[in-house]
Amino acid sequence: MKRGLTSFHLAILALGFGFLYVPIALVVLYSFNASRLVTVWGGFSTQWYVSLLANEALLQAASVSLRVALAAAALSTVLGTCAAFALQRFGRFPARSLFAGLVYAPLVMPEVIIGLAMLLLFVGLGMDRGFWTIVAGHTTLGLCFVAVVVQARLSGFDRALEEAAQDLGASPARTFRAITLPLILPAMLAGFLLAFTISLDDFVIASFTSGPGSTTLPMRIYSQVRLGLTPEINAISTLLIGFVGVALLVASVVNRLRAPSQAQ
Amino acid sequence: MSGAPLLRLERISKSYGGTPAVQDLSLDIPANEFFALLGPSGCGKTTLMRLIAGFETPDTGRILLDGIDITHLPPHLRPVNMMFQSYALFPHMSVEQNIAFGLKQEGCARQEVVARVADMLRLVQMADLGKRRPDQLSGGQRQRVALARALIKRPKLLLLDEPLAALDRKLRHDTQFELMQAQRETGTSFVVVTHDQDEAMVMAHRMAVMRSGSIDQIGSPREVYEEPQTRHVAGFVGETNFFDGRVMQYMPGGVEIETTKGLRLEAACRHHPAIGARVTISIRPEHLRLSAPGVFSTNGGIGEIVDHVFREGLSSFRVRLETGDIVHVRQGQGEGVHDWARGARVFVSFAPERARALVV
Repeated sequence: MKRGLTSFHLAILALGFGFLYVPIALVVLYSFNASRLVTVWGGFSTQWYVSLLANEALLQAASVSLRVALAAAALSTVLGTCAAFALQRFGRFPARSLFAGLVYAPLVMPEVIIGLAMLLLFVGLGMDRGFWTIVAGHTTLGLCFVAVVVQARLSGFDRALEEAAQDLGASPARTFRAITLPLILPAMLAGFLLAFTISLDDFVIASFTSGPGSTTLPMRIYSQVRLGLTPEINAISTLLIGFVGVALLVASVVNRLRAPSQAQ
Repeated sequence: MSGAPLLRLERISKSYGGTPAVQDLSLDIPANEFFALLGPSGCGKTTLMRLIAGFETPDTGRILLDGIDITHLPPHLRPVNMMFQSYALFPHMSVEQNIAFGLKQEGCARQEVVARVADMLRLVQMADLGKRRPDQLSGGQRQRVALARALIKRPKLLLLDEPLAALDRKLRHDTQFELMQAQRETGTSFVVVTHDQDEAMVMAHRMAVMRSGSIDQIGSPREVYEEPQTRHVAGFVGETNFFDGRVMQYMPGGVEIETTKGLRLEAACRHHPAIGARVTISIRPEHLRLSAPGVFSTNGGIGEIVDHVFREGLSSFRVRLETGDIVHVRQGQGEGVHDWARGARVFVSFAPERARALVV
């Protein structure tokens, strides 16, 4: 058997990575471009990061995006964890498949449909669209990701641990706090970070559910790009990529935490 | 054994979706006893243990601990602790925290917790490993932590679910004696659930042999081995040879039967089967004798040695009788013991008082 990488393997690998990451790398590269023309390299500079700080509209949108993402991720984590418990622990309750379908629907449903449905609902209810309607929209999307991650953790959970705690005198509530919660916390954190990045990324649902004064960062970037690409956009995009990248990395590390020891 | 028993099960029944797991079962366990529940998988022994621990509620019947009805008490309020088959050590806590968990639920003072945890660590010889996490321990060490954690609340009764199943053979042997010692030192009644008859024979003061939701026989390991009450018990506890047949006539202290293969055999009998009733003779391999076929051959049959194995100081033979029955014979090494070669013709016989005729 041949081991290691042949040149053929390396070529395939480079092609794959190139396909995925060259566009992103270009954005990052051009964010350090000294030239005002986005596509012409004019030397290294960080001036666009500096001028970014003066762009009120972009900063405002970034702050909206962050606050929406935090609120939506928090709500998603609570609701998604509840849904995961219902699916994993409550046995075969009536309409379980329907419930599972509804929880996981946003995973496969086109976002345009979700956004449109949300818009119709809010208009029908006569609700003013703004910060909280975006949060609601992002929560429906985020909670299914949390539910998936937490349910996976629960399915590998040794119920004997909870029985042992009760056997040693812990009430069901104490057992949840001392045993169950600490052991599924990494999955909940990972779910939180996933929901956070999904909310931060989202453009489609946000554009359906936002109102005046609650423009998110992706929406702001999109409207600016329509007027012409500026190096500032590259700079803020680079920051966003870094942010999301770190969050996803932390999510995957956190979710692996203690997982091996639990298997034993 | 004077006074009321520590644990009393009164006519307990439990079924799952119409399938009975435990049927009309009654059992008394006194204080300070090492008791074993022995049976094949699916016999209801695990259900019985979960009923005692409180993880299941019986459909009918009562569970009394020290005379108090605990049938409907939730597990966290029962003065009974359990050692789980998987040990169920909390992976996010150190050894010390695992052991202290039960005391903390009682709201024990910190100093007392520290002192009692240290005592327990000494009892299970883990004094220098208190800071480790469960995934840094070997299988045997985990088993001891699980034992310490279950014993720290000084329960009146400790349930042990297949306590040795996860250990390798050699460790299992040593751990048996450690468990027996722990039982003696704490004075707690141990109830061990096991499918391994060796474990029960070695450790238990008394044992119950279970089959399909009820108890076939209760007694000391010796009683159960020497005086099995049913064919299931005789076959499950220790090795044995069976001869099925019908009662031909009564003999002093026993019966003579004719086996389905046509052998005439005599065996002691504790029951009173009618003439012509179906019975099974159980005879342990060590009670069978081999001799050269001769004139005075009685209570046995002629056969041929098909296999001969020497193990742990004992010779084991497999003999095919002329009737087609295969019997196992075990002999110690000593004077008068002939080393029979494969293919040798022998007469296999037994003393009637060594065998038991069991009503089928």
